[in-house]
Amino acid sequence: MATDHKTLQPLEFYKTFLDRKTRPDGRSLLEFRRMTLNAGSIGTADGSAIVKCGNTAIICGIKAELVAPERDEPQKGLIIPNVTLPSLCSSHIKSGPPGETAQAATQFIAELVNNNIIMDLETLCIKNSKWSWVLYCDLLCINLDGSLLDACVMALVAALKNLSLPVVSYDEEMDKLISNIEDKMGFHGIKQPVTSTFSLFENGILISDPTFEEEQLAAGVISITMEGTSVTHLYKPGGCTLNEKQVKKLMQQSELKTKEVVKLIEEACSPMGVEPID
Amino acid sequence: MSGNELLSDQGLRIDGRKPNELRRIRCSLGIFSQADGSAYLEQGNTKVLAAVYGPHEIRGSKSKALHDKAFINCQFSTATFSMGERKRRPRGDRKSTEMSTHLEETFSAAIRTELYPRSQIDIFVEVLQADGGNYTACVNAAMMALVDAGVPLKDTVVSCTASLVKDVPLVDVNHVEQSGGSPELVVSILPNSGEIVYMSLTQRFHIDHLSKVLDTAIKGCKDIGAILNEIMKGHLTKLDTSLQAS
Amino acid sequence: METEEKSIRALKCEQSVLSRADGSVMFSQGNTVVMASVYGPLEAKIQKELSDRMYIELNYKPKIGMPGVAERGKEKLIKTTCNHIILTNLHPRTAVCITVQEMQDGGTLLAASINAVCLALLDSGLPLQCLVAAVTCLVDKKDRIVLDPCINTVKEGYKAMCTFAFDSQKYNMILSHCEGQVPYQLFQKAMELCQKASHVIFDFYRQAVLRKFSKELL
Repeated sequence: MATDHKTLQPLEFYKTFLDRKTRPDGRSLLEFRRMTLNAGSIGTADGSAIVKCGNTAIICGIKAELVAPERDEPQKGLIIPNVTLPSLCSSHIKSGPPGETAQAATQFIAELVNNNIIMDLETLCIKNSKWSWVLYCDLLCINLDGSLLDACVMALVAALKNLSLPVVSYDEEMDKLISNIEDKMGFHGIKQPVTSTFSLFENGILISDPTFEEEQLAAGVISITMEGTSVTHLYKPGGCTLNEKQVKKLMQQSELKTKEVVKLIEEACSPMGVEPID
Repeated sequence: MSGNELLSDQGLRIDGRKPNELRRIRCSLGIFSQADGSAYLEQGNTKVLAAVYGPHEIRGSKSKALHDKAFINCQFSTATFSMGERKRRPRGDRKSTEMSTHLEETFSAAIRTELYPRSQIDIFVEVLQADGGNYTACVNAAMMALVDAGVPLKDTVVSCTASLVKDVPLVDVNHVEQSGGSPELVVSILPNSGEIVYMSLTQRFHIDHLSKVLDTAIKGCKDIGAILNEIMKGHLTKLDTSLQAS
Repeated sequence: METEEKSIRALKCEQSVLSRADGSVMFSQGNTVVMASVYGPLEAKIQKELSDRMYIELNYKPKIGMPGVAERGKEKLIKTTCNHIILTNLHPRTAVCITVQEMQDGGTLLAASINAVCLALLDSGLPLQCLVAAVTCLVDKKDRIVLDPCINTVKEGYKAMCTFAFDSQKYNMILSHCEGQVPYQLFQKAMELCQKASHVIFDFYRQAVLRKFSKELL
């Protein structure tokens, strides 16, 4: 009976739950799903992390290469993010070139990176206009169940913290790079932005950390990125409207989540034994 | 790297294994909620994910539908960070397409496709970390995912590689041995009937060695099959008890 | 520039510029020029057909080259905004095709595109729930808010650039998109400023529609 109701009238099915301030998976409206984080599990990557937020799972692998910096920004290194949603991750994803969801997520992460919200790109530079690191950050979704951006940002930050690269220095006289494979280093000053996604329903109901099903049914979505207690990015791609009181309420929820995620990342990335350089 | 270094005077391989020793196999089933069946498999440092969707109606062009059996659609993909060098294209290159075709052929032989005419079964595999024997790990992982999905099989499929160094056959080749220039024989079998469903050889060796190397590979397949069988049984009993409890 | 910029640049539009489209507009906001066209309701492709509402297809064409990842991001933003303003459930199993062509980049392309799409939708006569007006503002390096910045101001560098869209009913926020980093107080101030500025755009819509219909009546 319940399954029939759900298939035929999914929105009504959901609204009966929401009216009673609960959700089909047993969460209250503003509750987040359980998050787990594992750093450094991919040996072939220079830095890696696996994040699970409820059923959504993301693997982030970072490969580093040395290149000459871009001509118009000689003092900056590059971080190239790429979100992939292979057809393995959900039955709703078709194989072929990346779809709109994947491209929009890539664009979202790229904006965070280019605005120095993740880290200061100048730290990646080894020698002005000669050599800098380029970090290819591939975010592979292996199970898609809503709140993709939350998991992506978390995986990216954890993988960057897990990064371990050979120490490379530039020799002025010889005009070449000297590297020592034995010595490993990470990067200082990786910030800890945390994205929290919320779904909005027509009658002003807000829910945290929506699942894929909830995202499909909802009238709108909003992603708030915070670092500590300050808002760094507010992404609301259309959908139904939101007043200021609601925004304030969501900010408080995001702050709670931010604290939890920061703790999780610190726990997962601390015992690496890799000394970050200045 | 010459053959001498791949096998020490004491008869040990570069990673310390004996010639007939497999790498450690770890596998877990039913790890995803979205897929109908899924599995994660580690064979030494090779780590592979597999997901199965289906049987469902044909997606995309209807012309792919077969009137008497199910259409098997496989996609082999390698994560960009899975190898020493960054891979530019995770899927769609020539090697991946070839792998996908081989997987389709292998599983068409094992799945009872005649039960699902005009439908489609999707098998997606993703190599997360590559350390030799990618194809075999993919076959084994995909098979476990099929079992998890409950797709009817004629027989399980297991796959293993073998090589030949200093006239000694080696089982379950890793990346160093594979790229060290030694030949690699990949075999997939149906262990109960002992039928070979897939076999390929890179590099050359004298035909006299073939039976020896092939036997090693088949022995490896059967050993892997036994290990996977245990894991399968463990998973199914756990499922059974949890079903009874509820 | 000592005082904070408080007004938006001159708005101009020409409706029904394309003869084949159901609705079209050439819209300019200062030096930014965008053309938008609406075709619909049309028959939807079988894969795209939605049983309970209309499918919106949105294409954003850059001035040069092929659309890339950045354009896809814009498309998604505009599309979801349209999803809110069009009464999509009045036309189930159909599609509407909206094309946005960038003509001249004078800064604030996203806001101009949304405004152009709104005007084109008005021109097409598709039933709408409300109108939408988008405004961009920029927080420069000295923490001053510049409303509707021109391309030169954008090129000088900034701390953050935010685009907001508001509905015509209660002036609530429909869309928010920020590049860069601002403290929340400043962000809120920027939002309020944009909200006020959106009234100017809504007035402009009214004028444009009045002009169009008075012309048609003559």
